[in-house]
Amino acid sequence: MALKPDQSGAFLASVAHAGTAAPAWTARDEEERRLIADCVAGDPEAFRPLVVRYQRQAFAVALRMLGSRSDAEDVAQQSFIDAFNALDRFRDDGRPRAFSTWLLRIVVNRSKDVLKSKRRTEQPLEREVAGGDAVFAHDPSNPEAHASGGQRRRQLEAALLAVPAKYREVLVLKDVEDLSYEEIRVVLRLPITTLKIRVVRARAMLRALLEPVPGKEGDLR
Amino acid sequence: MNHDDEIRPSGASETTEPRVSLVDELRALRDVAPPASLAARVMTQVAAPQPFSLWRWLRRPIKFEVRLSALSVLAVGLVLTVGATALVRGARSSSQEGLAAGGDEVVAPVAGAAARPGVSFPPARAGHEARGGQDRPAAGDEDGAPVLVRFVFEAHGARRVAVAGSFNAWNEQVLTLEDGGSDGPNAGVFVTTVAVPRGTHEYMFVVDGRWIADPLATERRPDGFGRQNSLLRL
Repeated sequence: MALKPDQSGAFLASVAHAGTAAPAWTARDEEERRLIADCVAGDPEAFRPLVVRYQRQAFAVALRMLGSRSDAEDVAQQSFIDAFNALDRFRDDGRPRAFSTWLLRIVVNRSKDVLKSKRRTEQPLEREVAGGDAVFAHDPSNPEAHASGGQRRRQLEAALLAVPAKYREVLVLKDVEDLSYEEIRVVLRLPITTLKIRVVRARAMLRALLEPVPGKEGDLR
Repeated sequence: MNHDDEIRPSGASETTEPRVSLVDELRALRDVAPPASLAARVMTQVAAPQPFSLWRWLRRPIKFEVRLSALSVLAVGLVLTVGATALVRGARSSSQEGLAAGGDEVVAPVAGAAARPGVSFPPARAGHEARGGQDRPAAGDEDGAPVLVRFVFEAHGARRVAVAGSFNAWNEQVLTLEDGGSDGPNAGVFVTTVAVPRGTHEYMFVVDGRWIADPLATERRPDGFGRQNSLLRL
């Protein structure tokens, strides 16, 4: 599913300007700037609206990166505390959604730290599918599961966790959280062209993981 | 639907699955409820008193509001302008007074003396107190840094005036004073400024090869050869 070499150049040129438009500065950004200023001035309670606003996103990103609710809770909680302690160094530079992208950067980095620490002690999940088998594909012997949307969701979740972390992070930010490439660039500090290539490859990997096991009939799709 | 779904290389298009379904399925994964206690736990930790940090305290911004009418702005501007002008004028006049005082000290005729030497500090060191012909650093200004000392010696008709002392190993070839000009009020007034380490120093002027003690020095010390050196305490 890798890009064909003779198509890479045209691909890079075609994606150079797609989906990169940055959102405009809004009243929400203005409110967040004010809340942050209040926090820095010594009012920790001003941080609560920011936590409430972004707790779902922080937790969801951590969960999709780690696959464990307890780990995701820890990462989300610690990321908020890290962000609060570093608010005096935060500068939005007039960028819309600057706080959320900054927070997500902390979340992603903390998630990577957890993945690294787990890798030292546990077998990485991606190795389990390194052979290319579609281990999450549909099992036609179980028609009930076939009809179950929950089962499909679990397959998708498991397949997402099987994608290598550097591809998973862009997939989570782009396709799950629907961030713009400009926002993802700020979060991951990668060139937009690199991000787009990774998104395409990550989708291809995910699709391969969800493909039916060869020799078996039936398909979820 | 994702706005860049159509952007992909043909090499990744083997699948028959409609891309929109995969992206939409992924989008559905964002429907995750965070733990109900997450915000409360974060706020508990955030609100907990943190150990005092001087650095954080210094970096803490101070918020204040000033409301001025147009008239007040004009008044403040006027006051600032007048104050700045007075400050500049004061600095200029004190500088000129310092120069004049130094000139008087140097050029004022002294009965029986052909030359009128002296030691003083430049105007930039005006913070130091003066005693007699020498300036000394004010009490508490003991940072160990060298002190700039201006040596002045009036010797009309002299070709070369130098100062030598314990601070330069009594080398009369190094610290040559400059003549104030061939005519004018400073003619014949030789001046130089030297960075002298703090402490007590002995010195003498060397005028055309003749060693002369500073007649304005308040303290002197025998040189062991029947003459006396001037004493400079910094």
